[in-house]
Amino acid sequence: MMDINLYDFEFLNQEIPWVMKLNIVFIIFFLTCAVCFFVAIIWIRIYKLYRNEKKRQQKLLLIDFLNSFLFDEDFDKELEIATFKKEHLRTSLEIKVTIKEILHFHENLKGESARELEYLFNKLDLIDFTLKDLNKGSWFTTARAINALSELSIKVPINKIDTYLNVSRNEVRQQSQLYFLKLSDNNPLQFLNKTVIPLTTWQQIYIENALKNFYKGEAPDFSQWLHHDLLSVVEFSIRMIARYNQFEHIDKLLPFLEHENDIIKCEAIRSLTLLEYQELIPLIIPDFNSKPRIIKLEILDAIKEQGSYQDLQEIGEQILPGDWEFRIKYLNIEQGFAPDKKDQIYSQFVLEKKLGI
Amino acid sequence: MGGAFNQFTEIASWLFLIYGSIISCGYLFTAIFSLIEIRDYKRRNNFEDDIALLQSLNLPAISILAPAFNEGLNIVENVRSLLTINYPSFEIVIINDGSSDNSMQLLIDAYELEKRDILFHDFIPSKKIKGIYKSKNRAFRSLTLIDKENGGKADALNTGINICQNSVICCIDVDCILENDAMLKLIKPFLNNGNKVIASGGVIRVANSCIIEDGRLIEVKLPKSFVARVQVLEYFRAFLMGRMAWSRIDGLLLISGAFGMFDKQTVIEAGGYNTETVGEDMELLVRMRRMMQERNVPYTVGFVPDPLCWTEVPQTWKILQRQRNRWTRGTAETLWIHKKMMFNPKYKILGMLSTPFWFFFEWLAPLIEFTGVLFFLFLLVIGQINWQVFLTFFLAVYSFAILFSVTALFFEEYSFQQYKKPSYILRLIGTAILEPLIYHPVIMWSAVMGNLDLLRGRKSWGVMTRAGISKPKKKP
Repeated sequence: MMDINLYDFEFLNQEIPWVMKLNIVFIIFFLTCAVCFFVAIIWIRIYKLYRNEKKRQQKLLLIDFLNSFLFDEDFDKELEIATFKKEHLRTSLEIKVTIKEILHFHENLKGESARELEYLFNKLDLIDFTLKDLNKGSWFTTARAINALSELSIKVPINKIDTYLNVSRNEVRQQSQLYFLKLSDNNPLQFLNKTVIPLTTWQQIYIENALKNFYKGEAPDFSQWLHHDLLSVVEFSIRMIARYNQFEHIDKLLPFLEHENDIIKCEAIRSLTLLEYQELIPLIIPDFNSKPRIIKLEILDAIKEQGSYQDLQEIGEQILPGDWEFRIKYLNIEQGFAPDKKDQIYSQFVLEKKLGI
Repeated sequence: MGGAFNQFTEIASWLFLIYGSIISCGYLFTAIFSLIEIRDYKRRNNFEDDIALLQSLNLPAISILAPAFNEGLNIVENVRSLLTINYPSFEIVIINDGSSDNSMQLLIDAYELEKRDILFHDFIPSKKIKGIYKSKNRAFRSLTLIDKENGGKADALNTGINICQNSVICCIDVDCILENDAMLKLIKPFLNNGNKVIASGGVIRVANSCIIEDGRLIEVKLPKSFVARVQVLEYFRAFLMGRMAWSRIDGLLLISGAFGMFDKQTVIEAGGYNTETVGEDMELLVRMRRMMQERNVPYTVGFVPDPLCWTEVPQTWKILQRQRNRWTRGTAETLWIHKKMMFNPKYKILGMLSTPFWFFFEWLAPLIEFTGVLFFLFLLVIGQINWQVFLTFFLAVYSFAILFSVTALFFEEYSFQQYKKPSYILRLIGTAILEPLIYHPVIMWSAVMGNLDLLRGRKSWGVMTRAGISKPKKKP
């Protein structure tokens, strides 16, 4: 056997085939990488264990501290805050866990206790840490900071946040939208006026959720965004008008039945149906057959909700025999209007299918 | 003659080396892209908690389609588990694909089902439906059972698509275990994207030996059997390294048949699942993507790195071989059906990167490897082996295989760290060391046999017996 010492790389100078030299280099490289990854795995495991233990300890400490702070009348707040700050807010991890735990408490408390927590957040200088995070520049620290500020209703100059309303990262945009919404006293959706990037459906759900659960003021007049440049904002506003029963805006919704965008048309039909606008059906039935698929399905839903059997039959005449999707939906609705004819409708449908009509 | 022979072996060695180097580079790039994607995902979820949205009425309703064939042993419990999914609006459609056991009767009895006259149309052609059942009990109103003639998994799913009510469908294996927020996480890409999303998939994990109670995962355990344990590593490699990277560059060609969500209308327009291939999950996604590209409609395919679905993997060599044989046939059939896409710039990433990668490094890899083995045997027979070169080459390949698995394990530790016990890490490292010697040759052989079976015209799935997922012992 050839005497090869792999460690001093002398073999590279020896008279062995190049392919062997290459293989040996690969072996050393791959095995070294594998060992490095193995060490990294062990390191991550130990690090995560250590970190989780630290987190657990800090959490336990905080639970005690926060409970005493909030509910113990003999608790010397100023002194204890100063001690806690000095002894338990030394590392970034301790600060992060503290912020998270305060947010967690805040989420579950209301009124005076929530205000107390906001005061504590301020006294512990956690605002400074959050603002540093905000200004760090990386999207995830920015989003995290805005999230903390909005959760604790901490007001910062508007220009610090509204620059993030139109950034490319969905997450940062979403957090800044929620910030304005949660901190607003009277016009929670004012940020929409500055929004130039379309809202995703997910963001719309979040905004609606936050409006319902966090905003305490009077419901905004959603009609003010009906002519927004972004179709997603228009779609959202139309939907919200119905969700918040703003019947006074029915007239403003009517032109959207003729909008060039099908999604907007659908939303208008759906909202007017929810608002139980009685004159809707005669407006949408004519020319049913020439309408796009999603509009047809929406019209059928509208008839099911607030139309009559006669309205349905008017549509039935326009549905072509081979349009199975509409035919099935139509017949399902018909079965609802005429329960006594249910079996007859089914048998007729089966026959139609058999004959391929 | 001797000179020509030496030249031939030299050229062959070069070709094997170049191929090996390219494949290694491919893996290196997927590892880098995956790491970036995982890091971003972790950061995204650091401050967001979407679980509150489960109360929202604005989330779209989902139809969950679960084909079942001779699942009588666990079908009632499996359906019960599906009915407890945490999502505001969904229907469960179980498609009994002509089972010869008592699954139908068990379901009818357990869920008080009765035959109903339901209007439907075969938007996608499928085998004859014998009956559609709904429950008399309001508690199970979201359940629909379809009894149909046997036609295979693809046909059963097509039937489900024809009958289900909602515009988003989730195709799953009836026995898989879903995480509590699996549906919410999987629907998110559909709702949080500027482009139309046609499908989204999640990470599948190995459920063998895990503790499952009432259809919920209680404790993650490492499988006891070596075969299943290697598949834990394989799934890390496939999902955490492979699909994450492909998702990052929007080049994903496969969403696992065990758990994937689709836009129903796009599926119907693409023609539904292909019943002529055994790789129906991959073929459907490729066809949907191809259709969208040809229509020039902006779209995307979502992928969620969270472990959302836990499934039982083969525990015996025989069943494993059948599964891999089928996967090979499925890959080959899909690539053949869509050969037009290969190196076709019209299909962008899919044409220039994804399909060539699947062709050269997924389908062709075991064949080239097998050719290498034959070449080695040939040289051995004629006494032309240079043992030193062979040994260094073998060790280089072997060390790369270990590195690849250890990297995947690192990704798991960095991201989700599902296997909490420290001893599991050591056992997985041990498995990674043994895998190239014991497991990999079997996989290679199965793939070779899969190609042979394909040439012979074999179309069957093969029987996939499941051992059943662990359940905790009942307290006395």
